[in-house]
Amino acid sequence: MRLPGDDLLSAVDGGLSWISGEGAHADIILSTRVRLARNLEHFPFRETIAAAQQEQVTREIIDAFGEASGSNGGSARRQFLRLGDLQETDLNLLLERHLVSREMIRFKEASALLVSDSGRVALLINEEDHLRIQVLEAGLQLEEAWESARRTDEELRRRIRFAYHERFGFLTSCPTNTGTGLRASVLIHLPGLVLTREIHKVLQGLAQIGLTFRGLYGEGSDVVGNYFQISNQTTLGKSETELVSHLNQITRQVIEYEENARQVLARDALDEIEDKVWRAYGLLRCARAMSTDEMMNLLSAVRLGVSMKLLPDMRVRQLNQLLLWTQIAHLEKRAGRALAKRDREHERAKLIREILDEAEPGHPKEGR
Amino acid sequence: MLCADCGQNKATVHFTQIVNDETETFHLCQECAQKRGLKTSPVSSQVPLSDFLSEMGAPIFTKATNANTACPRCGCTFRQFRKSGRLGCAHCYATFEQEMSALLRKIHGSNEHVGITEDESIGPVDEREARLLEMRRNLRQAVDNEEYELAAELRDRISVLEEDRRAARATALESEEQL
Ligand SMILES: [Zn+2]
Ligand SMILES: [Zn+2]
Repeated sequence: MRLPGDDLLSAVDGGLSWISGEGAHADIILSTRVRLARNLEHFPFRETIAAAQQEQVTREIIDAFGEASGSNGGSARRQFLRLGDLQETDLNLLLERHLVSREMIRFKEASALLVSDSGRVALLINEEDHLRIQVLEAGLQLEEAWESARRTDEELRRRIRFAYHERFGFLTSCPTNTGTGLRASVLIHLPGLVLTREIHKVLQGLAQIGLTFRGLYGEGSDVVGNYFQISNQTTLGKSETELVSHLNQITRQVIEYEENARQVLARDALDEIEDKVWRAYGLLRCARAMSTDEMMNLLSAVRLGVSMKLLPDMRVRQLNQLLLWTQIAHLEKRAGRALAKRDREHERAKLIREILDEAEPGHPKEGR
Repeated sequence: MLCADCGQNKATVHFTQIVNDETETFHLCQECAQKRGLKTSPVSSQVPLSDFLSEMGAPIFTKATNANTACPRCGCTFRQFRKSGRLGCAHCYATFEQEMSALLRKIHGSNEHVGITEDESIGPVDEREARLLEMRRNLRQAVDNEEYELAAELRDRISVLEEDRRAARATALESEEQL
């Protein structure tokens, strides 16, 4: 199936590697992200920087990164995009892929993106900080993502001096990122804990041990689809490896809680769960119009079904495609035009059916 | 998730607050959040740093600096920082060192960086790269100071070095291919 927008970002599979669903625990952990905030030593931060200086920042980073990836493997392909040159749909497409931030779109004239396809590495330029090194991986791969970020940072530091303070560490525009500049996060699917009403306890526990979490919001202000993001809250006073391994350890624990909750569901309420999963599948399979929020919630049930082996023939990769390719900008890119709400809901339902056609789990009666 | 205050409505406002040096995350419904006087933008899970800063203005203020002291590099005053929550430049950290030290401790529970240091695990610095970097910096300064003759000279020297670098790389690639 044609990937929406592959003409725009044909060399940027790297940023989308999480779609493959191939990392560890990929049915529960959608993606892992590590980012490092850095600023160039001799330039003011975003609050006071001039446009011409932002251009110099961009050039120094491109230059240094060109050198870095050149010395790494010689022929690593990269793609460079200036956000000011892009159409709104393309900007939103990148946003849906987590390759740019809203902040960058707001200041798009100065912002740029450099993605390397050999790694899964993206350099977000002139964000709140001059540079955000971002690594996105499939499933739970915190150590791996950190290693890629660390290597990129190290290569860049051969050529660029970053703003640094003997005691405070790497300096950032906002003091909440000072020190390591490291933010590691996982996007995790926790329907079992939500259904068994245990989620509150888990989230409270996370807050107590210095991790933040937030729900994934839909078009409204409600958390949809039982997706949560867990990340480290502080960046100073602990080493990068400590921060990463702490998050890794806690994430594994949360996965265990989630698996326990699913076992409880399978033991006490298998009929209801099965019904819920197959109903969701049926709606996705047959509906002719679908809003984002409805889809996210149905997809959550189907994902649970796949994970619990109630929908035997579906793959995690398809779940991820369903989640990403049906977002608004992806739909518009695919249609080649802007879509009004109703059009969008029709297009979305159609694409969902196409993706599901590739995996037909058979008649419900045979599904057992 | 239900609202932590009333336990009735769905929690849609998530925010982190610092109470007695501890960070706490709250989950509230719109109503209860408003009762606590919080802005209720649906995705505000970040630390509302500027509010936080203005609330704690008094304790972290030292006699050494007053709110109108400006950073000599970027002109940002501590008052401006408290309002925006964003620093003007890296030197602001040195200008307001005592205040930042206290603030970082409040935010992170520590103000001592123990992670990777700026020089750590960097191999030998490439001489040519270091010179290029310095010359580019001098060039910027020359342009800023409208010293155009110097700038032109620097541009020439930079392009010579860049040509040199390209040639070196081409040779390196060739020898790689021969292996
Ligand atoms: Zn309430
Ligand atoms: Zn400053």
